[in-house]
Amino acid sequence: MKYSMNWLKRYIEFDTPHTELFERLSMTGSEVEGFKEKFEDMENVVIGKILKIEAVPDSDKIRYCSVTDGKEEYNVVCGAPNIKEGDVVPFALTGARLPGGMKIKKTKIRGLESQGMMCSKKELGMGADHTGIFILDEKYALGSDFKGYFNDIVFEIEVTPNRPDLLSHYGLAREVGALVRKKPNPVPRDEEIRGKYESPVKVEVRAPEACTRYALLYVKNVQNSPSPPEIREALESMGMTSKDLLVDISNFNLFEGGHPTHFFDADRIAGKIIIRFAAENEKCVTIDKEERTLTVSDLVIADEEKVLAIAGVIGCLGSEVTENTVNIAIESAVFTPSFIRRTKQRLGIDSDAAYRFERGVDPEAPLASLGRIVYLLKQYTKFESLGNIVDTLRSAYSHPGIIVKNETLERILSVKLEPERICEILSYLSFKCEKLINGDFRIGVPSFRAADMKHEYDVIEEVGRIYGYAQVEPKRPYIRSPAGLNPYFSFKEKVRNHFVSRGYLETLNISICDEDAFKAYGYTGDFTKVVNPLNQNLAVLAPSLFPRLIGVLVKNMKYNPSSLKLFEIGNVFGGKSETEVVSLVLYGNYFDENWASRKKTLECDLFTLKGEIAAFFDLTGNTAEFGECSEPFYTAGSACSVLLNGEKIGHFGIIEKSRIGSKRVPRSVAAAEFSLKPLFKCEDDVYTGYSVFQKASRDITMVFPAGVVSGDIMKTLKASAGRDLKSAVLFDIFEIPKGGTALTFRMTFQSSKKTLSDSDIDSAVGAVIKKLKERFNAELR
Amino acid sequence: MKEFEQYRTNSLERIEKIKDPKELEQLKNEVLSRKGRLASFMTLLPGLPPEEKRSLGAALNSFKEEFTEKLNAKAESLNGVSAYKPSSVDITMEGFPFSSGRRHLINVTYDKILGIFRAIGFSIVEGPEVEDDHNNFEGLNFPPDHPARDTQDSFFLDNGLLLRTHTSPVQVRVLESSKPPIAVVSPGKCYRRDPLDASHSFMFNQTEGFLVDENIGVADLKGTIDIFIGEMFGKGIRSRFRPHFFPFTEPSMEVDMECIFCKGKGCGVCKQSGWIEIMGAGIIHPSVLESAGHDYKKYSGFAFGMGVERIAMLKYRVGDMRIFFENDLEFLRQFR
Repeated sequence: MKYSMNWLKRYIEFDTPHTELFERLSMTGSEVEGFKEKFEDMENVVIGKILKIEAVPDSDKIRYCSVTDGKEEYNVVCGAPNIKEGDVVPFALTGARLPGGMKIKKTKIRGLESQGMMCSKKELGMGADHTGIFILDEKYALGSDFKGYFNDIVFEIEVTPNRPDLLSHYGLAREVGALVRKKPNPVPRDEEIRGKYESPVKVEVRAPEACTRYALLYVKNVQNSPSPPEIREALESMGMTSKDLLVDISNFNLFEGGHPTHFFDADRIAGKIIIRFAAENEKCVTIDKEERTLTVSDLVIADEEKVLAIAGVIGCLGSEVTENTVNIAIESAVFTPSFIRRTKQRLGIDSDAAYRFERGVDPEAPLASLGRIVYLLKQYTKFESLGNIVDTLRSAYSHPGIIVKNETLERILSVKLEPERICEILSYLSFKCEKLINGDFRIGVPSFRAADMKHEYDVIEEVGRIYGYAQVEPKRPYIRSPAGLNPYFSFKEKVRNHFVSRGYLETLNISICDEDAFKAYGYTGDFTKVVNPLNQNLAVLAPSLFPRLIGVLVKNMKYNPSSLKLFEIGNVFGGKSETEVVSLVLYGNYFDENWASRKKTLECDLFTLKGEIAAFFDLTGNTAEFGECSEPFYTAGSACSVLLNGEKIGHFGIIEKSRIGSKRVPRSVAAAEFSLKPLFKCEDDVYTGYSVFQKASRDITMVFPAGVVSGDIMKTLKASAGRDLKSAVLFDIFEIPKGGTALTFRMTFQSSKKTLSDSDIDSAVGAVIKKLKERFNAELR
Repeated sequence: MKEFEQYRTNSLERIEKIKDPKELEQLKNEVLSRKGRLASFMTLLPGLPPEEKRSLGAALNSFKEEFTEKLNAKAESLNGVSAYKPSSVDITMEGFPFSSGRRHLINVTYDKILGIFRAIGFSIVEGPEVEDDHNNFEGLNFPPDHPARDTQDSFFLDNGLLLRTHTSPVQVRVLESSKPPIAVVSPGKCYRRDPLDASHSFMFNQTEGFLVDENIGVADLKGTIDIFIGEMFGKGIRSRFRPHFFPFTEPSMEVDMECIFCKGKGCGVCKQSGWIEIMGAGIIHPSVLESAGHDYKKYSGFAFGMGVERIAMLKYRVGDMRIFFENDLEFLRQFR
């Protein structure tokens, strides 16, 4: 909320310089977010007096004036109609600067020299009034700085949601009082309002759960008029424009005491006022001329025919005060915050009233507000008489008080405070503080803090923030619980480091994205959708990561990389599920180009990728199986699905070019994505021992008929080679021109019990050959 | 075999006698070159019976080793340097282009943050990004229809859940499932309905931390945060704890550290204040402990939460938050 220093000082006097005050407010929980001196940009504007006014020939507008600053006389050309000799005016000397950057220079107008300028309010930055020169009271000393009398500092405080009591100048004055150890001056108000007759407007509350108190004051034959300068200026400092006295008084009371009131034209109320919930689809037109459709949870103020106002939020056309208003009814109520908030949010209306009601207003405020308003009406205008106040309050404000244990206070704030200090802090904050015999405290809570003060800790915070956390000596915490290692988290770090050391760059993509980007890859349905997206292009949660990584690739094609390896670990979403995956994208060659890589270009084809995946699975200690894959985004026949214990946990392959949706990606793109959780093994490996006997390798080359796949051969080979087979790799492959394919397998044998003899190995190899012949109709070459 | 034994003794003796490097080179060629004597002995191997094959093979290998060693030693004594100095390779050419990858700067930052808290004794616990109202709000003392929710504008999902607006739901999960003493840090992605600009993003990373035990107060919080600031930004950097409001802590505060750019004198980054806000913190609200089933009269705790992007921006001087999510190669390659 914005505050005016001048307005604040109506209620509390202090000498603290403003910068120091702002620092102290910030350090006690009311962060001052910025401030502006009203006449920051103004220089050399002084109090002047018009000595003489002469007509200028051939002009009915411009006049030639002589103005004094008390020492010298200046000739000034002026076109304003409202001046007369003897007027005291703001006078900008030659060389003066005005708000907005205007500089005053000596000029000649119609051949007449003008040495300075008399200023209108608009020229001084004091509002929109440009109809004439700002005529001042005669009490100001000639020649003295104009700023000295009219300056103000407007500052903004981030009022936290727990402190609705600060949303007014008087509320802030109370808070400042606690800092400078003073009580603010009471606001002058009519304490007892005695009406002369029953209120002609009756009130019926049909929704007591949403309207806990409704007070109404009838004022007969009130004279509306423009507001006096002090009211106008106060409202203008809040950035509001003055309307008329009645509206302005309501707003003035709002920013002074924090309680929103509403003025109705009493003659436009049909019958009694009813506080009720709206009917479904009930309509009304609010004072901003918008038609609003209401629902059954919206609280309204109505008469017997129509809606007069959306309670606590905004008034409606048809009952507002106008220049023709004669009799008024002033509403001063308390509404339940949650109802006001729901309606305000649903309708998207931000009003000063709703802002305060949704945070909770002082339950004692209704009568105080009416007392203040009557006082202001008496001061600034005339009215005939008052009706008796209607007040629906059933029980007066009471608060059971809060017991604060000294032990809790010391434990939470980590300081020992004298009981007197605690009570001193609290009583400057308007709490009652009673020391109990056992050393604890009973705290009485003022009505304006009732919404926030529910718990012992709430009071402890009040003591802490005023005492200051700077005075609490830091202590290194002693942590009794052992630090759990979170092995899954460490596993993810291992995976991350694995890909980093293999040359992958880690990306970070935002999970909320455009549905179309995934539809391009064949994803349909089952998106987790955002109900209230920032815009329609950001409306789903990513169902997979690799399309985002390809997006990163496409975006970076501006650098024309010959190769690129990207990875990311993150969550993907579908329905209610959330799965952590690692995703890879490889582009172009496996290695960057230089003289050496040119000799052995390694394109990121399916087998580069398969090798990469196998290395990763080896790292995780899992044996994965690769199966057929029919994902639509992969090139047919160039993709595998990955199975772990029969369960599909991911896929990899060469991306189908047309899916990428960019012509700027000339080389092939390989991608992979796996769930991480299934790959994580909790158990540690156990040492298995190793053989000290010699290894021996044998190669066999056999010709296989077309249609036999190496994976099947390898399975048969391993199954038939006996238990001393240590490893087997497909070593060479070439097509036989006459038909069939020659495959060379290198088998390595090692026994854990002895050095294998030639005949041991021969018989193992013999068994393999025999089996391959039988099974695949293969021939030894 | 005999022939070889003779040759072996002979050639080893010859090394000793040589005084000229050229002669040494000749001998080396005679013995080791592709058509040299050693090679010719090797060609005999396949024709021998297995046992002889094995013993001659072993002898040849050991001779080759011994001869080479002596030859090198001699060469060194004659030339003062190794005889095997390569001469035809331009060693200044670049090596094979193995590239090293990079972690994303946010994860580099996470490592630092989490490393510090792990060292103090905190455990890492993660939680889901899709949460329910209880864990994200109610369990953290955000009543329904309360203006405090305005500061955490949520994305709601069609599955009835929402994207968590902070990592504090993990606090609820941990408190509901374990007994004090508890010391946990929780890293992760969070989402708020803020349009993307230089200092806001609708997805961001946060690290939550909390400690619950007997006798925990503001001093423990201050001590912990001071260790963090010292390790992260430099020892001796001052901190201040400014009162604030969060529904799930009471008292609540915001933590500022002395501006690291101007050493607290005031500059553009700290808006002339000399201080930079780095996290929110406070004493865990008794309602949070109570709703998770803990006795707040016995236990108390502190909690804090920091934006990882913000820490990274300060630590690595990144001026614009959007850079983290743009994934430009120049950016990705910069940080190790």
